[in-house]
Amino acid sequence: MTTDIGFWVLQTLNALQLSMLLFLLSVGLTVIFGLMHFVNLAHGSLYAFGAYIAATLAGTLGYWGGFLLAPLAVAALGAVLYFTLIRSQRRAGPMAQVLITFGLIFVAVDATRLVWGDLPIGIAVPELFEGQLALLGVEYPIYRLFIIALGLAVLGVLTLILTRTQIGAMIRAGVDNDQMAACLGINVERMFFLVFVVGCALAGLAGAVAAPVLSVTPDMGLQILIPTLIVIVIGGLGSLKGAVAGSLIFGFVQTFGAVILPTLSPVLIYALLAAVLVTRPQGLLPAKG
Amino acid sequence: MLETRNLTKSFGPIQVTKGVSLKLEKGERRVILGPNGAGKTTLFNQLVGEITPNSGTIHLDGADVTGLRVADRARRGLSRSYQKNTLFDGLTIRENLGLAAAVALGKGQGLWSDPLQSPEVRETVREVAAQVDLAPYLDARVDAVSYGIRRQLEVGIALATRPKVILHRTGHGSGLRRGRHHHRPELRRGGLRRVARGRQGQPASEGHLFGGVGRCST
Amino acid sequence: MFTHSPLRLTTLAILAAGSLAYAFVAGFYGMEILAEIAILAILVIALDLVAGFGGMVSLCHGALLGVGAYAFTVAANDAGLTALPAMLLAVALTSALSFLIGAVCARSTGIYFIMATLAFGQMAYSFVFQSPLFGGDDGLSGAPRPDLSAVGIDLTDSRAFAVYAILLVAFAYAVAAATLRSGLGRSLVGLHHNEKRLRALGLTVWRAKATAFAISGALAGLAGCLAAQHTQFISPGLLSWTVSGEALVVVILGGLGTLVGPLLGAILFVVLKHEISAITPYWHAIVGVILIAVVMSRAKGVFGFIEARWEARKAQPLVKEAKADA
Repeated sequence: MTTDIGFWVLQTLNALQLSMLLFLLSVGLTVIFGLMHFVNLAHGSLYAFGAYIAATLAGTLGYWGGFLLAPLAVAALGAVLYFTLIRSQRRAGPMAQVLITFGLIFVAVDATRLVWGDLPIGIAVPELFEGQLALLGVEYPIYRLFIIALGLAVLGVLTLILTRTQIGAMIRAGVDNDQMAACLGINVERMFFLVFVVGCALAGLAGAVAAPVLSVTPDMGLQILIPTLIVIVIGGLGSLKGAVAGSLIFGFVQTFGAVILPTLSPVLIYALLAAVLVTRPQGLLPAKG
Repeated sequence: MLETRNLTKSFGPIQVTKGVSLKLEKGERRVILGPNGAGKTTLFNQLVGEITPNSGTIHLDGADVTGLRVADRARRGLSRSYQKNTLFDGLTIRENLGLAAAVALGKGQGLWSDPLQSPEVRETVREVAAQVDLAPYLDARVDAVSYGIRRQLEVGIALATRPKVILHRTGHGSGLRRGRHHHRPELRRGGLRRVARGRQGQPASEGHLFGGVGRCST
Repeated sequence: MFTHSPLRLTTLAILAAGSLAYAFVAGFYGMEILAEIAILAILVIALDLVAGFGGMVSLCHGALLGVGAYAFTVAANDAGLTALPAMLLAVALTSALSFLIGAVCARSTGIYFIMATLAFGQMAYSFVFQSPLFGGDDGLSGAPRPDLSAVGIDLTDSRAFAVYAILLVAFAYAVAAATLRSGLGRSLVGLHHNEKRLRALGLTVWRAKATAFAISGALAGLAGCLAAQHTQFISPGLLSWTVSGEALVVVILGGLGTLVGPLLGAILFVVLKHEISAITPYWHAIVGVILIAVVMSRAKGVFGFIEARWEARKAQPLVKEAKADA
């Protein structure tokens, strides 16, 4: 334990960075669930796919090429998945959805192994964000600050869209009651598709952003899946606020748990999840009252 | 058999049941009527234990059950039917009635024998099936029979627990008057008497409370 | 409700006779496969009991298997118990843990139940991974096999071990079938269809769910003991949620809620795994495609498909006596 303020600043930044990465992933997953009642276990695989695309394009188009194209590529993949698997399984119940997307994980992991091999791929941080920045007496990598800023920016844009635009109002109406929304003349099918694809694009973005920080491996999607699920279950399936709260809780519990209670830290977050499920089975900030 | 004293329930500022006291004697049949929003459902839900009153007491067969939960009240002989059929859809009618009888007999957690094969349960199933005219359909799956039969089963399940008191939840124009029981076949011929009396003349249960809704024709 | 139809009994008899016969003719490799199938079979019987009949789709059964395996190994290696008492202890411990998980998760349904069980499974995984007592990432070795030399059986011989494993599967099946035909089993199926009504009929729902989960967990623990005895080495990977996911896949492929189907599923899965992985390292992808195809076809797995065909062949009027009544 330390009283050094720099230590706390550093850990807080680390926690924020993890939270924002998880937020990018969980927000798509949770809104897809809230709107379509679809549980997509393969969401982590979309993230891994984004990371691979970014890593591949980094060599030819540079980091920013990957940064822009990875979300688009993942969105395109999402569109294909939507029309082949997701749409027909929307009303199939959670078990069928869990199983189909679990099968997708199997396919995705092997597909990435087939294309990119088993070895981890690393890419460099973009030149623009190389180096460290002195912040409150701590030297912190600029790129990680960029991740935090990007997460906050996405949060801001999504909040604006959901609260201030017509499409946002339609989405909120759909989350509340999709059948009634359809009766009011909202094209629910198109909205589902749009939200699903945007959710996939955000997962791809998260992958692209994570690529320089983590090494890109076939099982990275599987590794991020459980934290993402924990985030949305703690926060409350279907709610944007819940995704924010869940991401922050996960990021901070994980980061500070590891430095304050190193022996307990792996169990800590699961214990927290269990506690939430027991006391508030719908999560902390559920989409519906 | 069933008695409430000063039952009061509020949701926020809205007081829905205000000091309701009622008494159902052994062998009695009572109907609760009222327009939409009168608080019938709230009263009903307090009686079965789905919601807890803010104040007041509920006594079942002399014992205070106000603090007991749904399952505990059921074990003390309080049975209910649902306005919207609430059945075990994938099972046969025999299994539906058998399950209800088994659970009511306290065999719902047993590990060592099959309650559906026990003489008591089989006897109950046979009796209840006769009471609600389901004998010909016992081996049909619930999701394959008509609404009318499902409705009979709804009442049959409530009867299969051999309760002291049954609370019936009935729908619009539930037709308690003779000749208007299209969807209450168990009330056909002999009307209420039949449900209350059973076929062999023994009381099927000792008290009935009908929670009618809306424009009840009686 | 669970019944032993003639088709199911016939399938069981064929499976039992076939596996025992194979155990006596198989080579070393075949016997290893048999043991592997047996471990998976016990696990999927356990899972089908709660998921197929009770609708409690669990993603912690892999972890329960792991807990059984670790409890057995630690009890035998460190507490100095012989194999049989160690097995009893491990099964009892897994069962108690499962009762707790079942009780805590009883309020959750649907996707929340899946997530809650996943959380508990991951908790166990992290705990085992972290704790020095369990050897961390390196795992533990040296789990003993039961000593049956008193009755002239040497379980270090892989043929004897394969037969022993098959007998354990039969035992697990008998326990699951007996449970399903007990009052608890009947309530469990009722809970799957209408929890609200059963509560209104007087059932203490959480206790029924927790007890069913405890019985299922005991079987998963038994599978864990067998796994530890088979490879005589265990690692935290046993507790991974993907093991639970695979078990669920096997139940689905075989036929959810048929109890016999998952046995077929276990055989198919292990054989396919070895056959496909001999050809390509990407066998997971092929399993994934099969899984997606099975779920999307809405067939109740291999055995569900066979049963549906069988039923259709001898289709008869739904209500036989209805005509006489009218």
